[in-house]
Amino acid sequence: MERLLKALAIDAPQWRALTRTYLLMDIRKSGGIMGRTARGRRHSLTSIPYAGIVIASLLNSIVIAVLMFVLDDVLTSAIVLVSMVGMNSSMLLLIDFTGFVVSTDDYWIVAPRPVSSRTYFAARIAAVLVYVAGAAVAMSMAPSLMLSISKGLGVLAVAGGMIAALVCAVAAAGCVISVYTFLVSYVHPRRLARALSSLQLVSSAVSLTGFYFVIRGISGDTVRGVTAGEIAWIWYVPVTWFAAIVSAVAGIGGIREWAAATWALGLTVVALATAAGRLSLEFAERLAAAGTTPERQRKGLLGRLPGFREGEAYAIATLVRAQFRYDMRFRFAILGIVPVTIFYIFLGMEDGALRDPFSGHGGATPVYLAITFLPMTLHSTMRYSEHWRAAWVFFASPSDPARLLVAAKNFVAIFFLGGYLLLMAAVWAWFYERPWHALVHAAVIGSLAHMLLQWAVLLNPSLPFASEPRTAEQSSRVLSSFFIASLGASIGPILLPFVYRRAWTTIALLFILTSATVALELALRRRAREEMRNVEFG
Amino acid sequence: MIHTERLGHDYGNTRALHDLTLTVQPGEILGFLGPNGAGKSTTVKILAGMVRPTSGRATVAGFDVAAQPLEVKRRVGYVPEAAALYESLTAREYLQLVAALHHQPFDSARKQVHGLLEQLELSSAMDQRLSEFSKGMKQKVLIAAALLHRPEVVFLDEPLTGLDANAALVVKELIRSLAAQGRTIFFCSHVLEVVERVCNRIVIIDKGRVIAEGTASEIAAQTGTTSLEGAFVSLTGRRDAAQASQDLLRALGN
Repeated sequence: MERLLKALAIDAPQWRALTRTYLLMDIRKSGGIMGRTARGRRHSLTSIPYAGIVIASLLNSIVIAVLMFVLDDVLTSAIVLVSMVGMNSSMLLLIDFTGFVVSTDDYWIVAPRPVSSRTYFAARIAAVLVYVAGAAVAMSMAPSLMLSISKGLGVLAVAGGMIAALVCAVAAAGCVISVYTFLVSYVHPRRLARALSSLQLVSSAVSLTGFYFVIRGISGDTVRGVTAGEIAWIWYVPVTWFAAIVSAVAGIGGIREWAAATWALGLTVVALATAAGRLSLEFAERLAAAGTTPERQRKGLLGRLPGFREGEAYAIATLVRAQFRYDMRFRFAILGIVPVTIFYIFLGMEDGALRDPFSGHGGATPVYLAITFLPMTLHSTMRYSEHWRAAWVFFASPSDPARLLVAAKNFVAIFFLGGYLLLMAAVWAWFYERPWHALVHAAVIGSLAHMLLQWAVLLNPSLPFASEPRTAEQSSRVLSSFFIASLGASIGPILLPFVYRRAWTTIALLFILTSATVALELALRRRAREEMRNVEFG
Repeated sequence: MIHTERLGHDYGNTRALHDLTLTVQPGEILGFLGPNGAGKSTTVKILAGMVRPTSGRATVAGFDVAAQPLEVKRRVGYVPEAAALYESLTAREYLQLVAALHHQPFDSARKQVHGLLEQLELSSAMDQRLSEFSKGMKQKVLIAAALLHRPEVVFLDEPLTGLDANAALVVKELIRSLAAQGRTIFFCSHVLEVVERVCNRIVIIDKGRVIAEGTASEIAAQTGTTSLEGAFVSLTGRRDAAQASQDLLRALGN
């Protein structure tokens, strides 16, 4: 290792010190501006930020493993595997480039030290590679095992699948770094981040739709027999080169597979070399400088929002709007629901799940899941901000922290959940052919979603935008929200058609929901007051 | 120890530094003053090897800052104006990282870090995350990080920010002692009293150009004033302070 680093003109002691630091920083739990008085101090379990990403990758791997089982052809299966791993790695890095790949702080801390750009790059890339490799291994383990067992290929296929996934993830990281650093020379980093979040939305929609067609194809036996290797043009697609590594390592590859695998390795080296030329301390400096360069502003379309025109509510509305514009995590948490919903509606149209629940049908569970999941995810996301230190203003001003907390919940409920429900009510009205059915149904589902949001706030009251975001820390929270939301979304469609049969039961349900909402709101406000009393700046 | 010749730097179309020529001798403490945006930080960044000059030439400790930036960085210590630290590290971890970047052997660096933190009265907090440190504590860590490798030249950009009176006194005395050892100190600050008391020589720049140079009394005499503060206002003041405060009060509605 020492010799290799020396041959690459990398300072080994510096590389080790920096790599260890970057990994340590990514692994450590985040801080926040909220301290607690001695009386209210609580000890929480130390979370492991990478755990969320690993768990999400493991869940993805189960879906891919099912596909491995269904598909007959080894190359086709391998193409699916490496495509998913490559896309996952790229998106992880693209969405939070300044968190994962290079930090603007690096320039101020490392630039005055005798560290060459090459050593800095090598340390940063090592930390990134550990990160993407962890996700790639978690994502490829089960599919590689399935590939080996279902195709009777033996242990070499397991190694082949994991190597292919790893190499593809590394190449994807190299490409992302090269493309991002190239683009940021021409586009302001904030504008680029917004464009990338839109790109991720499109790619989510495409992958979900693609997945849907694959599932449909499976049921029709149209995909099962596909042998990608027989399609001539597929060998010009880089993903095939990485997939060919599986056959090569498993010992079933011919000259064509070996040649493609060699191309894949060559492409990986080129991607890393290109990234090496671009990712440097000079780049960190440009990024730091761009961060202080004003972006051309557009006039906001929204004026002061009704109900949020003064006091704590106005402060929260201003913050949420600014956060939506500049914080990609937050932006994606909101916009990410759009392709999912479109996909669910599409799914609902196909299997008849968008039928009127007043006529005794259950309705589409996935759509309910999306509705209940959105506000809970947003509430969780609103805890964090890149500018968490600025939350001192909450403590320095005579604002009421409990009101801030409630205002944040209300903003999510009115403008995000409310807007989303209006959209869904319009869709339901179109399909149900009775608009009032759609409106009542939207009111019931909205109340349930709002109650889940209230419950989430009640369980975990925290000041908005006052905690430091840390790599992958939110994933585990999102997963637990998903679990609670899926429970709520599963029970509703089963019970509602029975309730909707009679007018009085529907009215009674609306009354019960309203009463429960009021009761929960009172409990929430009381808990918020109690909790926020113990919160102090520190 | 520091020598610049017609040093210039542009940010896009904006000229941040114009033909700066100066020499700072070993053992000298140079006060480098100027209003906000005058080009002080740009000068420091160029001299510390962090930014390449657009024009001119500069050598620090005998090395050209553009051609041999790593050699320069090995010999300089830098306390930045912004307290940039990896805040998820502890003070001990951060200083050991800096020591490693300067190739100090781990064991001796550990002892040195421990000793430094003890002297800076941070030994009880050395295993706390930097995110939990106060502004003054962070500033002490930055100062320790700048001096850890015994630099020949030290660039201090507002080094007393956040320090209490006792700590500030210690740092001021430390600066004098470092200079007495033959190290060159390049001191940037807006606190004119401190500059006047600590520095042997003062350079004032404005809009990227040197507008005055000499001892505090020489500069005051050049401008026909009696203090460095008076000279600074006379050289760089855009408007009368009393009038400006009245305008502010009017804007506040008083």
